[in-house]
Order: sequence, then structure tokens, then C-alpha cells
Amino acid sequence: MSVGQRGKAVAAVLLLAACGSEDSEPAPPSPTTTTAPAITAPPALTPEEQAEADIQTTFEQLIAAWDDFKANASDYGGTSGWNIELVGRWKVEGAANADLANWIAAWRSSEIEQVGRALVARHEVSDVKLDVTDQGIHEATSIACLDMSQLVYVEFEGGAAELPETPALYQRWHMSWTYAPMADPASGTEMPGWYVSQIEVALDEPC
Amino acid sequence: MSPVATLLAVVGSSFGQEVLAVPDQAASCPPGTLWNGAFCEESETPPDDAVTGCNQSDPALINVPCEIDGFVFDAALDRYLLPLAPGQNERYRPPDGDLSHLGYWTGPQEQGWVFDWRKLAANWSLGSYAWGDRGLMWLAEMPGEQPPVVVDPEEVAQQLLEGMTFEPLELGLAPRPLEHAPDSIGLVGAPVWMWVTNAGPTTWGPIEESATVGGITVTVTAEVGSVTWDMGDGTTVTCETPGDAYRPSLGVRPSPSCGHTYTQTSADQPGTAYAVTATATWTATWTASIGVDGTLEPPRPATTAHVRIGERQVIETG
Repeated sequence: MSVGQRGKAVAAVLLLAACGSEDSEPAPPSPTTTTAPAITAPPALTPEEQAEADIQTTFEQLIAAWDDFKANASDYGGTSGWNIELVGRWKVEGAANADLANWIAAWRSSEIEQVGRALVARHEVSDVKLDVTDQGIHEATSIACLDMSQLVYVEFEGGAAELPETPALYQRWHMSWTYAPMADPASGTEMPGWYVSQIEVALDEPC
Repeated sequence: MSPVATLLAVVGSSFGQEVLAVPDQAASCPPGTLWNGAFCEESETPPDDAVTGCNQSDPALINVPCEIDGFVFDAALDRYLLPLAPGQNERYRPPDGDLSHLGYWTGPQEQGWVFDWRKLAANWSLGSYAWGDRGLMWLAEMPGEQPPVVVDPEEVAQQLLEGMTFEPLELGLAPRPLEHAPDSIGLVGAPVWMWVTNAGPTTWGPIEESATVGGITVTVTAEVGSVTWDMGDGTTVTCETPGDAYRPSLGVRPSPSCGHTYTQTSADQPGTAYAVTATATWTATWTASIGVDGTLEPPRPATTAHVRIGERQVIETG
């Protein structure tokens, strides 16, 4: 079982334990004379599992922010460096920061908006390396597959956009990740956490 | 192992091996277009109406922002710089940094810092900035703390000029010079044609060369303004063109562009021939991207050939 599958299995067990059965009757109040069931703490994630979960959450947030921008592109632009400022709020650094800043600028230049959200169909985190330095820096790589088959592209006025080429329905993002143990605004790290440092996008078969 | 190499090393174990053959889509957009996350979009030309005082030379962008999201433009290095976070910086410091083998740290291990550097690309729209080349570099001092680079544009221009090649002229003469035809002889009162047989960039110009030092681009342009022909008989002829080549089919007529007529024979000259010396007068001008310009003194290569001039003797008989 991969780190990801193990994490999902744990999550599923916890979910079932918390929800119980929909068909069951509400449990009567426990008699005060009986012993209360012991509250069992959920099994703690290993550091690697925690890293994977954090990376997946961060990526979901990144794609959501990227989708939000593409869905509201007409609201952006006009102020100097607006795209740099926008991507500066995302958990990306280094080459990934520069690439996304460029993609944002180019998308705005396209004068289209996206209707719908990209679905993160798969996201496998691998090669988690904890404490690669004494300063608490971690590294990881991951590959995500985005299902963009349900997206529609429209002009700012709402009409169907005439695109110069047909966008791919699926994108595979190969990413390098770095964990920043502490904030360092002077270097662009606003808060501790995982940051995407490199993105390579490939257009692939369905996820 | 670099991040890219690390990434590729794990690709094979995720989603199947076929991924290795898929190129990075963002890197495969045709020239003049940018990847926008879905397709390749035509890029735009940056505006040039803002005056910031910061100028990027390569690629050339005038009045770029002096600071972008923490990246500070450094004119001497012609790029934007952002210091790495302390923890990241230590990764590159030899001998113990886990990334020190990548070789970015090029100075003493106890000195300096590694910087993320970027350049602006020539693609802007609606106030956005597009990044171009980028990388990491080690600097001994923080930007701004480095001693300022003093650039004398004229000195740069002079160095450019000294690197240029100025080749001597090859002379065309009618009558033919003795160097090519030892028996050739012209006549007093007959038109002499002079021309340059090898007019080209290194003999006539123009030659243009540029260099960028400390963010200032200096361009030097050199070309021949005229050729001064010392005909050996005490007269000089200045021609502003390479001249027209003579051919026998033209008969006896003056050159339309560069000619002379001897009034005395060369009998009393050394070797009984006039020494004809052609000197190319090069002019060189320089301009700098900061709006100053000037002139330089290029060399004046000279070439000498010899022509023998005789006199027609009329013998009356009867």
C-alpha cells in the first residue's frame, strides 16, 4: 500500500467511525451507571504521510486558486506587476513562481475565462526526503493528473471563445516540492509550509 | 542531483513509463508565443512609457521596474536578484551543504550568499511582467553593497575600436602600377584613373560592434570617409568613393570619380616612377545607451604603388 493509499484508508476508517450507520436508530442516552466508552485517538500519521497530505492539500489549493483566476480573468490587470503579486500569494517559489506568473499574464492576454474547475484526478507524492538539511528543510516530488475535460472557455462577454488551438483535456503536472520550516518574507516565503519549486506540464492520455 | 534530475528519476515509478517521452508543454510553445496554462498564446510588446531609470540590456528593455516582488534590479549584473532564505542558502555552502556539489557557490565558503536571479522577457500585457531567463548565482556581497562599477563609455568604445580590423587598401591604377606590370608606362597629359580594388567591410566599412559593461551598451561604428591619394608629384587627390575601375574599352577619358593628370614625367623620380600612396581616412563614432556619444581616432592604413609616366615624342620628318 502506498503512502497515499494508506492515508486514505485511515481516513475512511475514521469517517465510518465518526458517521456510523445511516439506518441505525439514535442511540439512547447511556445510563449514568455504565462506563463511558474509551475515546481512542486516531492513529497519528507518519511524518511522510503528513508530508504527503500537506502536499496534496497545498496542490488542491493551488489548482483552486489557478482556477479562480482563470474564471475571473477580466477582473485582473491594469496595475503594474499584478500577476507577480497574485502568484506571490500562492505556495509556489523559484521556477514555479516565475512560470505561473508568466502563465497568468498570458492567460489574461488571451481575454478568455474558464467555466468549470479542473479536477485533480490523481496526485501521487513520492520521494519524500525529510530533513535534508539541519535547518529542517524537506523535499518531495509528485505527479498530478488534472482532468480538464469538463472545462469550457468563454469570452469576457460570455460567448464561446474561439481558441487558436484546442486545449488538452488532461494535463500531467510533474512537480518538485520544498518545505520551508519558517517564514522569510525577504526571500518570498510568507509562511512555513510546502512550496512547489518546479512544474513541468505534459499533455497526456486521460487520467 | 538537480531537482529536474530528481524529478525525472521518480517519473518512471509513477503513472507508468510513457511519461518520460512527454515533453514539457510550457517549454514547447513556438517563438513569439507563451504558454497560458491551456494553450500557446501570442505574446505582446512591452510598453515603454514609464521612466524608472532601470534599464535591462539583454534582452533590451528600457525603464523596467527597479523592484518586482522582492526581486531588485542590479544594473551591474543586468538582472533581478532575490537572496535565498537562510536555510536554503546553507544548502549551497561548501563543504557541507547538501547541494554544494551543484557548484553555485563559487567563492570562499565563509563569504557571500546565493541569489535567485531572473530577467524580464519582452512580453508584457496590461501591466503584467513576464519572466525570462532565471537561475541561481553566488555573490560575494549583497547587491548594493558591491563597489559601484564605474563605466567610461568612451574607454569602452576605444577598446572596441582597438579590436576592430582595418585592412590596407589594394590600389587600382591606370596606367597599371609597376608592381603588377613592370613595363607599364603612362603619358604626361593623359588621364590617370585611381580606384580601390578591395572595398569591403574591413577596408571601407561600415563596421559596427557593441559591448555591454555595467548595464551600459556602447556601440562603435567605423567607416571610410575618403581616400587621400598622394600622387608623388606634389599633388594630392581626395576621393570620397572607392572610385571607378578602368577598363580598356573605356578608351582615353578622365575618371568620373577619382582621377589625376601628370604634367611632368617621372624621369627624375627614384626608380623613374612616381610613388602613389593612398591613405584611407576612417571615421569612428560611438554611442552609449545612456544617451552620450562621441568620436574616435581610428588608424589610417596607407598603401603605396608606383607608376611610370613618360612623354610622347613627336618626330617630324621631311
